[in-house]
Amino acid sequence: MTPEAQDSHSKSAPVSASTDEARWSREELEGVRRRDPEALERFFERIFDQIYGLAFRLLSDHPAAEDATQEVFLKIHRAAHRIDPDRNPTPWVLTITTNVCRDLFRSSGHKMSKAAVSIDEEPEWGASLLRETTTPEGELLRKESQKMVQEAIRRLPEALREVIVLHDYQGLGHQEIAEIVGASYSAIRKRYSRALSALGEILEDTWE
Amino acid sequence: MNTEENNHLSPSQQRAKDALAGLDTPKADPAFRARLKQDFVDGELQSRLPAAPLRPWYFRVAVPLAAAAVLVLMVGLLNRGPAWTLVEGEGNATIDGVSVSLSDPDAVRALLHGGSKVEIAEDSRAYFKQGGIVMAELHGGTTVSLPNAPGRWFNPRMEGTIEAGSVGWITGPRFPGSHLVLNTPESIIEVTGTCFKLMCTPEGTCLCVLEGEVRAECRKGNIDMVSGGHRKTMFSDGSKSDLGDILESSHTDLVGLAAMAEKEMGK
Repeated sequence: MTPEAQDSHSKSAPVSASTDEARWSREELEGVRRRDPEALERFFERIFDQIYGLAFRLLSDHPAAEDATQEVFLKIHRAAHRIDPDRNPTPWVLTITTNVCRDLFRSSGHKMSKAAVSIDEEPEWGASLLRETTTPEGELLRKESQKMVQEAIRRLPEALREVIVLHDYQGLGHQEIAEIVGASYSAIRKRYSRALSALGEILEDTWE
Repeated sequence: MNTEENNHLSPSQQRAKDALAGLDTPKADPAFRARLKQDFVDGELQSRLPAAPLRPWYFRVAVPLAAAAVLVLMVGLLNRGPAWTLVEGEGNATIDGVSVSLSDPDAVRALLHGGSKVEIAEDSRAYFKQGGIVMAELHGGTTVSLPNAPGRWFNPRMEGTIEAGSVGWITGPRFPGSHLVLNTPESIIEVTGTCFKLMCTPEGTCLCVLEGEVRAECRKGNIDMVSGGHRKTMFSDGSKSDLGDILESSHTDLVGLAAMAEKEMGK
């Protein structure tokens, strides 16, 4: 991660990240700055699911998501002393995660590991994506359909994938996404609209 | 979830949004989560990352150096021009102090190289060539250091020395681009494509040119361009050099050499 990305936490305006249900207390973040074990543990518990979930949605692969998550926590630990206790650290953490995933996704190893994955072999699963069911068979179909959606996300170009995951999975607004990926608000709006259209087309092709 | 941009979605976009909304939260492997948490809290995360293979400094230096050396060597070998070979000869010669019969081309080839000092015995004669670049006719009593082979791509300069005797020279079809310089006690002869003969005696050097043009520089005097059909005699006592018509004997020899060169090297 670039120092700029690391420093973006302290430079950006306070952001009320949609997923932060409880505010971070100054004491909590001071503890993280001091690398106090208890504060680090609480910080981990609060942020892990967001990091792992975002990494998985961006990379579509559990081992890769684990690698990315580990890398993100390493970067957080290294830069903990730079955390501003008066600001919400979530956008900073999501920026690191997005950048790490971007690097990982571009690496040849990740591309090769994903090259063999195809959802075209089981197209009939797609039609049941939105079907509510409680039977074992229905549950199986629902899980497989989720795999198809995830695969469709993976097929999106990197810039569109980031925006759609940050918006619809992470629940961030366009302005927050703009700050994380380093683009303008209007650019993110257009990108999000394109991403939805592209994802819709991929899903339509898949389910036909 | 923000709803600021959810208005006016197309059916396809709405389908995508619905699909995204149906996604579960990905769950990490509990064992991975626990390990990572412990390492993060303990500050041990660094040690869990796979260390980049660190090669010793000499390995990192030696490999590029070795690769560069091999490259230089290969370029040097490929750049080398053709070797000298004996085309025809009669009598005997001494090459770098080793006596050899001029009727044994293999023995001569084994001794010849660019810079070889060749002494042709009296009543002997030899034709040497260097690929299609240049051919030399060495008469009896001649002592010469053969020019080195010119580079194919760089260092096209060939330089040799005639200490005594008569040598006829003719350039071949592969000569263009090369640069032949011949030294005699009295002169420096520079050639860019021609047929000529150099005769070195204790009194001086006589240059006879059959074709083309040769730059002849007296060590103690002037520089002249000697063209086909002419000669220049440069004296060892420092007397003024003499320009005139080509000597009849040289003309005859050079015509013979040109015919031989055409046969051996092509036009």
